Amino acid sequence: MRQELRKCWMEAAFYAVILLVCLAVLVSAMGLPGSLREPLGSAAVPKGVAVLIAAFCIMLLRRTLHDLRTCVQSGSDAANSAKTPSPASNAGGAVLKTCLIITVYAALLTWPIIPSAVTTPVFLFILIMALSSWTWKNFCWAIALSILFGEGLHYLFQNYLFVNLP
Amino acid sequence: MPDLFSSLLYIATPLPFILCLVGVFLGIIVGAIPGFSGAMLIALTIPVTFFMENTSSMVLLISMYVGSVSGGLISATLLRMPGTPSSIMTTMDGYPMAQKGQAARALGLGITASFVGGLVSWFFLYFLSPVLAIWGTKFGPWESFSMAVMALALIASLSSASLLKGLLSAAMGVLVSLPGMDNSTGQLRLTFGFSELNSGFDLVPVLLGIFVFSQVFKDVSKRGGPVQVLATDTKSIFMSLRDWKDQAVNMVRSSLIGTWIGFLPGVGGSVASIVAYSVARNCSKTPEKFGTGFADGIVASEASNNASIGGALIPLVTLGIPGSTVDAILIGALLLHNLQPGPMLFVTNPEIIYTIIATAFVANIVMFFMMSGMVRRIARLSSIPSSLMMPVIVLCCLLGAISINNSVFDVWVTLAFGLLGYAMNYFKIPHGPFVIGFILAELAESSLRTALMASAGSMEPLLHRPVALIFLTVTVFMLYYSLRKGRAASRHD
Repeated sequence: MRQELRKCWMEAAFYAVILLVCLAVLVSAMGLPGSLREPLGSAAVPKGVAVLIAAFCIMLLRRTLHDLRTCVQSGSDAANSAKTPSPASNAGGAVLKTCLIITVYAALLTWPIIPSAVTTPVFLFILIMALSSWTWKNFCWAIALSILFGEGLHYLFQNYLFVNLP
Repeated sequence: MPDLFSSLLYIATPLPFILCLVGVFLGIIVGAIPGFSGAMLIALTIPVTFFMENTSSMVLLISMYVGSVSGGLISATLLRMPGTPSSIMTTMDGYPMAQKGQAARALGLGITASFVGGLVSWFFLYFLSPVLAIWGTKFGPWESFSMAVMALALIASLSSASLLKGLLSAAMGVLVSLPGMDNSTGQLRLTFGFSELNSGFDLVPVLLGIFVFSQVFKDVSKRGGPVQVLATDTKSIFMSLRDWKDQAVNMVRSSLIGTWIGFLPGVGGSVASIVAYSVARNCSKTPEKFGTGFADGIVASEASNNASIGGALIPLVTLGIPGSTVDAILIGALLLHNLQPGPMLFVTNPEIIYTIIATAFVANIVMFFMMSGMVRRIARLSSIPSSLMMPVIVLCCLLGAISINNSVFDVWVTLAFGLLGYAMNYFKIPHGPFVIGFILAELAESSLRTALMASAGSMEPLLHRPVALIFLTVTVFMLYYSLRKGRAASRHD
């Protein structure tokens, strides 16, 4: 029940964020000049789509808040389920960890304080180890794959596909 | 006839045949890896072909083209990650079927449908190119606009239990396609000060984020579960007589749609598979089975995307107009070899035209046997632990995203859309309409604005164009049907 409640709150927050994005799009589209050469102009479609999304979000938000109310009303004994750690929070942790590793790698590519020839295999090694349980076998696999694919892909993209890697 | 025959005999000689085998094989591999694309492979190979004969180079490049479009099926089915944009719709039914333990059957259906789609479009390429070129000129902006709206509404209304969530997803996809330079006026819009957004979001980073990264995050969140070893019995690889009987109409219809859409300039295999899938769903007696591992969905998607190759080659060989990105690169290859694409090529270098047509045929057959032979080995890929496979895929995607525009900004775009895709997954908002909205928005907006400019802002011509009117009627009917069905279901609950 607690998990359902959490999901409802998160869903409501998701629609609220989309509503904010729509508002930003609307404000930005309002500032666009009209076109003399053609009937619609650059702003018409963004405005229309933003209003449409906002309308869908409000309807879904209403439905989510209704679900939330139902959850709260029928969840008086939800505290019992809170004693055991929920699988959803573990899953969220794993996603967060993966996301963080990718973000650090992307940041190192954007602000290259270390050459990507080094960061690429290290990134692959850390990601493999973060996703596997710690055993010597996995460790060896991680080393082998990070050297083979990390260096190999880096070399391929930089020298054959002419990608500017830092 | 003798020209085509001599070209077929030429491809049967050792060197061109080996080039065809190598081209198809490399194409399949590249097509199967998310982050790599056929366009990338062909662009990379063009400098190599400079030292080859004109005809040999065409054999190699066309074979790669056929292989790369077909290879996308593999990762779409086994990993729910489309290797190429044209395999987006294959993920909808291919992956659920593989999850049911029928990976070999899903791959077999896809390979056979790809083969049939390729053959049907080849028939049109060879026999009906001039007639199709005339028809193509009658498909105006009103028809393109209404076709895009129909495809969007069909997918949005049928892709999830909630019509509202499907429509929200489609509208969000349209919104994401809007930033950047407005093609009609040259005005920059919705860039929010980011110069990297001047040309808008590229399809590949968005696709990698929404489909691949969101799947990686989903797999990571389920980590620790048993590794699923998918069934790979050889019996199910080939379509049974019953399958042939059930799928014949769907296969031919989807191939015709793929050929037609491939033929329209600027509309690629991804749109072909979206339209064919939505039409198959609309015509099906059991539309609710689509998206649950239904054979019709795989067949529609794969037959149409392979058929789009032959369709896209028609304007290339008859008019010298590229139908897709890969065709534009192929035109570049022809120019590099001092060949001027266009109608005069039939007169000046007919051997090139017939080599292209013959290679499209032979490469299709080679693709069928090569992929059928590899199915069992391919399906075993899914038994590799995700903790080892996912990081390598993530790296391929990140480097692949940078390679599109040589910009690290696309890495951030991929990551952002990966998180959006994961959130959408979590809240049961379907991905399909999002990507379809993203792909079709540009076509829909530019067609509508061109049409309105021609009619001085009047929507009236829409009522006088029968094809456009049919598309819009189907759209309204499908939305009304989905709404009624949704209300009936909620009353029942």
